[in-house]
Amino acid sequence: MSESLLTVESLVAGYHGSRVIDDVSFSVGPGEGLGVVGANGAGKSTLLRTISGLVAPASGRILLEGRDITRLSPDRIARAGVLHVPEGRRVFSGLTVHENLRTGTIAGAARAGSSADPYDAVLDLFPRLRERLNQQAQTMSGGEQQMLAIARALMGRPSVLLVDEPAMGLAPVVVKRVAEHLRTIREHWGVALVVAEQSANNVDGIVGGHQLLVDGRLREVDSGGSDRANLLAAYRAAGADVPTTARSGRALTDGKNE
Amino acid sequence: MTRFLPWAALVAGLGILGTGSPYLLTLAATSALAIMVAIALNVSMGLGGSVNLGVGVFYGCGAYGAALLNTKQGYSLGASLVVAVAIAVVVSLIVGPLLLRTRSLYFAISTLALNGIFVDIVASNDDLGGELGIPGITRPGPLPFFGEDGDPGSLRTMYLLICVALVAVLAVFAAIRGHRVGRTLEAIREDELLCQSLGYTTLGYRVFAFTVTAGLAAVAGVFYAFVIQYVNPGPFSFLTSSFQAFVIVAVGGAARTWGPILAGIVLVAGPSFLEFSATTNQYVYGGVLLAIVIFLPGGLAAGVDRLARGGAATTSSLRRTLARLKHTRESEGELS
Amino acid sequence: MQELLNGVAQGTVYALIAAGLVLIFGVVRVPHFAHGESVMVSGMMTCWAVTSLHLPVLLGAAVGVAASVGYGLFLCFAVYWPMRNHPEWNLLASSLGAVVITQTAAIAIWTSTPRVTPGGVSGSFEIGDAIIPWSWAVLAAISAAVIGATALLVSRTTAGVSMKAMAADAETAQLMGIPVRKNWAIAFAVGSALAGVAGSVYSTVFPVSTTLGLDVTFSALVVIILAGIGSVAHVLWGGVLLGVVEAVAGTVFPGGYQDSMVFLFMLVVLVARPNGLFGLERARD
Repeated sequence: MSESLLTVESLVAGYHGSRVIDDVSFSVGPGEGLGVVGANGAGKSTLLRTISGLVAPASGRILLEGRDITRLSPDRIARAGVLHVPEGRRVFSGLTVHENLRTGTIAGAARAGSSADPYDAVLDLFPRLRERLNQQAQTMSGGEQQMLAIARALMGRPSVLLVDEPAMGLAPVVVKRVAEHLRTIREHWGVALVVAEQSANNVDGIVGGHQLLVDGRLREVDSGGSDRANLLAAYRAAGADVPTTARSGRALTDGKNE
Repeated sequence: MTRFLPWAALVAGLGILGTGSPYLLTLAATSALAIMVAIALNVSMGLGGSVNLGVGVFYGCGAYGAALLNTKQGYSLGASLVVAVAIAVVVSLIVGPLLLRTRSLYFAISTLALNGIFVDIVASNDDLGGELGIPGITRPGPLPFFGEDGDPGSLRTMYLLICVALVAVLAVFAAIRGHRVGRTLEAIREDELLCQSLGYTTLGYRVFAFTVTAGLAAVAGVFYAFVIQYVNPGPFSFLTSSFQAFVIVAVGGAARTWGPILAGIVLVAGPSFLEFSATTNQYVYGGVLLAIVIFLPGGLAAGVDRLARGGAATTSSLRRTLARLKHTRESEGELS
Repeated sequence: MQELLNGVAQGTVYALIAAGLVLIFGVVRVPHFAHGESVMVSGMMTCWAVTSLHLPVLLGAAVGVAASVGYGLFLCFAVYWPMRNHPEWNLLASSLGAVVITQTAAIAIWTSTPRVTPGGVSGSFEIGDAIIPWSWAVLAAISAAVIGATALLVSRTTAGVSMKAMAADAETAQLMGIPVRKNWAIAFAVGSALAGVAGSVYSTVFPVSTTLGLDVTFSALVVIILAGIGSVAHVLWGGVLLGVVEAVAGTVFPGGYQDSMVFLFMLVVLVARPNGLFGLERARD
């Protein structure tokens, strides 16, 4: 593994004293990805929301390029380069596509030494949005809103992108397209990607490998797939969707870690 | 046993005040009425969570109703009480369902508008006394045990009746708060959507709270008319009635039975006994309100609790139950 | 006709005050009932600067606007910001507490006698049979221009767009790196500045008193409710509508009931659109 961009060390977080995230550690470097797979209530959103500062952790540390960002406010964390595409997309309604993208530039503009305005590069990646710049964001389809939410975060020139359930409520063909975009962002833009999903085969196309989140703890998944039966049992125990391709015996070797 | 201690203290306090001079009696009576209006508001604002900034309307309905019934029709205090409170309840049943279509801040603004309309109507309509108001309300005769000349002008009688009304109104509040209806109201305040999904007709409960507030405020209004013997628009305007009740509830602690009593003593009774100037009084009002809201969000009642329990923080069991219910609902919803 | 034009002139001032409240109420979601006090503070300071310090009217107005901005920012950071995670009615209570203290202090300093800032525009002109004082025209023109400039600021600048984003979804706005604290300051500064302009200009035309604050806030709320949406530009029409309704109510019911008409109007709109003035309900968990 190359040098780490985002490092999470023994993170514990929850609400009203309960432990939703219990001793989670991982790290991702530039161009690397981590899929966090877990059932509803496993704590995926809480993990991402703790990293982006919306939930205050009980203990543990979050480092960005070695700098401690654990106690920063969400807007500071975003300006430091960690951008979060929230669950349910949450594009700004009442604002046009263009205005939504402009809100994204605020995070990038705050960082000294950032490269040129990513506006054109982002629109080249999402040509669909270029056609709809003056449309009200909330009138677009779910897939388009998801693209906009990702594009909006990209405008902030993230070094780390957190994406919460990008496939939620989308048709399979759209899910595939979103996944391709996310992979491009990771591989060609060099962004470190953390994707939370309920189903492992949604993330396998995006990131190299994934880990299961069960009872607030991350479990390593042996991507070699030597013991498929155990793995499927682990998925079922975690309440996650059993990856359909896993049944055909391919999926878990497909997304082999680089 | 300790449950009855505050009640005993209240009755004893009111009794001691009852031996005072006519001046003291008038101050105590008007303070008690202000507290009564706040207790009324505490039903819809404290238990139900609807911030009603128009409780002065129903206080006014009671007072104007009683004034008109007494001066024009010769109704006694008892008869006026029944009829004027009935009028306020009917009015609240008509406007309540309409206004309660709005939520939170918009509900507050619309009740505030209602207060504006009420004051404007009574001030503009000469049949309702106009700006000059309605004088000449006749108090009932002295209670029998005062004897023939024991209570000239019936002031002490009025004071006693107001004390009885205050204790009764407080008891009604405590009963509702302890009853299933009160707990449902508090649940609706915390999470209306959840209660709807559990099958409660939440609008019905909110209208109920609104109407109880209206009825109890009207009770205070009737007694106001008979003790002051004169009604005019001023005392029922937003700042002097609705806002005052809102402040008393907020400072005392929303949904707390003894909150309005504590806050009423600090904000209304205290300053009038100390004979603060109007200006000082306003500073006390604004300052105490700001300080309590910022530093003691649970109000005086929560502060007293915390002192009694030695500073231990407590989460209400209601909130915990709701959190659990919510969690169950969410996981069920997502599984299906 | 005369009354109608008077209503239009009054209406533009209402609109200016309401535009300031839209920024504060819409972006930051604080029920800032002390907004009308900003208007009052500005009017009184302008009058004081012109009559006691003998400053020219324009400088006096600058003093008034500065006082208003200072007042708004003080409340923002001394009261509302520390309470930003409290329930809405706590914020409402604190703003009403601020109203009471401000009004009492103002009466203690300036008494409650209405006063006019001398040295405003004089003279008049005629449209048909109506005689219009130039001061009314100046009042309306300044109000409309300031509203227009604010609308441009909101739609054309990045700070403006970020404020719209905050109004739509404060949490996601934070995730995009939008500086919440700074935007609070901008919203209160600009919003109070609009109130300040309204107060100082108004004081050169009509008498202002220390007790007008809460009434002004109510009028601004009515305008926002009439305008319906959190758009600064729409507020202009809401304000003019309110001014005209008041003027018409004044002629139809000379014996009172003007307030009732306005409040009734507001109630009807509220009950018909119960889901909020901005078309967006506060999403708070």
